[in-house]
Amino acid sequence: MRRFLRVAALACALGAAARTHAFVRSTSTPLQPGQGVCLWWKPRHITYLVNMSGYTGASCSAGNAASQLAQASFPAWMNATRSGETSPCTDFTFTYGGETAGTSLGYDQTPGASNTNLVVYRTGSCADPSIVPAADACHATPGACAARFNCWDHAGAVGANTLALTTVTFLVDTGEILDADMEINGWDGDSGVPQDGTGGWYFTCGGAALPTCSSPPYAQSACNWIDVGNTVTHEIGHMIGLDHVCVSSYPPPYDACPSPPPVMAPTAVLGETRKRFLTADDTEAICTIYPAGAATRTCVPPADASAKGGCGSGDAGIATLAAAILWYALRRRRQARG
Amino acid sequence: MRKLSAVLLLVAALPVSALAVPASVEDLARGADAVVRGRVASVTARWIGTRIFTFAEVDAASVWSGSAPRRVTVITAGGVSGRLGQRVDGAALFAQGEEVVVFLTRAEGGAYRVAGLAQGKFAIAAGVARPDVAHTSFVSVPLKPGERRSEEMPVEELERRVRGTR
Repeated sequence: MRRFLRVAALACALGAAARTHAFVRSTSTPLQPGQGVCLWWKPRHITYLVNMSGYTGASCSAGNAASQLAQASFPAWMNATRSGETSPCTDFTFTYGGETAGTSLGYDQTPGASNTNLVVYRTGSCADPSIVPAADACHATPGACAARFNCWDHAGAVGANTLALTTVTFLVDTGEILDADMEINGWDGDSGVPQDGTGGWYFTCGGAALPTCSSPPYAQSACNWIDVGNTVTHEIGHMIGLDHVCVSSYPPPYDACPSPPPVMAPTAVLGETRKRFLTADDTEAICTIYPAGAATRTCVPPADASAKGGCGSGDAGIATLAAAILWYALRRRRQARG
Repeated sequence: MRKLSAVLLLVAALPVSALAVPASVEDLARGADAVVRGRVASVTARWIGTRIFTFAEVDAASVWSGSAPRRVTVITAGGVSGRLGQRVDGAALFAQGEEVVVFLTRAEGGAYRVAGLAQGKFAIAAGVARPDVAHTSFVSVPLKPGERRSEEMPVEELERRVRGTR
């Protein structure tokens, strides 16, 4: 028995060390993975609307290219297929519900209200008086300028390095997601502003084979800068209840970082397009939470040991927990004999 | 066997880090209307239309840059109100009693927002200032020479960088 336990502990620990899946689920307590309840959708079929009307730039100017690329990002998650398998391991689906002029985020609690899951391209900063007049009444109400002028209202003019944000509305007691809206921090069209993000980011629709745009990127088309698909695919992960992976400030095992970095890694480089495609860790995430033909994996309060694997991560949490249990069992046996 | 087990357990939990390059402290200071060090007196959240906003009251003990009242109201997107919550990854989070350094921009109704989202709010503990940027997606761009990104650093260094920014 003792030999078995040793071997099991070794295998379990090495398995955890060599793991390839490390996804982290969003919970009701931001910055505290593993605490609170994780976020999840009850329906497996989600409809979203797109508002890319504010797009400014040459790269995505053909037809409705920005919207089309945003739409093309959703199947990456819907079609998640494990290595060696031939069919998707999830039956979670998204449906494009059409274009909208809507700009409002959040959740209308009015009974019977029609809430939409929105992908909206903001154009420039709400703090820019050339976009929102300084005297406009919207400045008195949080969120009002973004809704009225379709501008980026986060962090004044220093929203610098943030490409996009997703607002997820959920039930506090269960973690069930009721609504998810994605904002893209788009360029305001002012080529006189250096590309530092204060006027939004120059989004492109180029393919992986194209080079990175030169800086400044404005008016360039056959190149990649901030790829719409790269960004939207990442934000969809947040919409379905995923947190970032590869966060070094998270406690183990939530800080794990597989190679190559998953779509849900929180960093991007200029010209990057690889996040249009899921990695094995991203596939494992959606297929663990929303497995094809099986129940959605919700969370129990973290007081229950199973919450570690269910609410925090994939096999990383389970393996580490199992290793700890085996180590404790060995220690108890030794103490009982001594 | 005990040592081996402990080592194996440690190996199982080894972290692997990823890098992000956020805005520099100097960038944040240049874009902020004020930078204050203080303590969070209260945190409340409420619905405004279809969104939840959190209002943190911060008692400013010192103003490192610009000008700000003795007590500032800081608005952040997201929070919990009633039976519903809104999670906005990338927004700064405040806790009652927390000592903070906040880079502020003037916002709605005389209140303030946090410049640079979570990058612009540092929690202070044991002489160390630490931003919570785990929920922020960054694009890697080079910083200006001599500047330091928004990351954990001694409070003294953070103050020196803020006060030295022109």
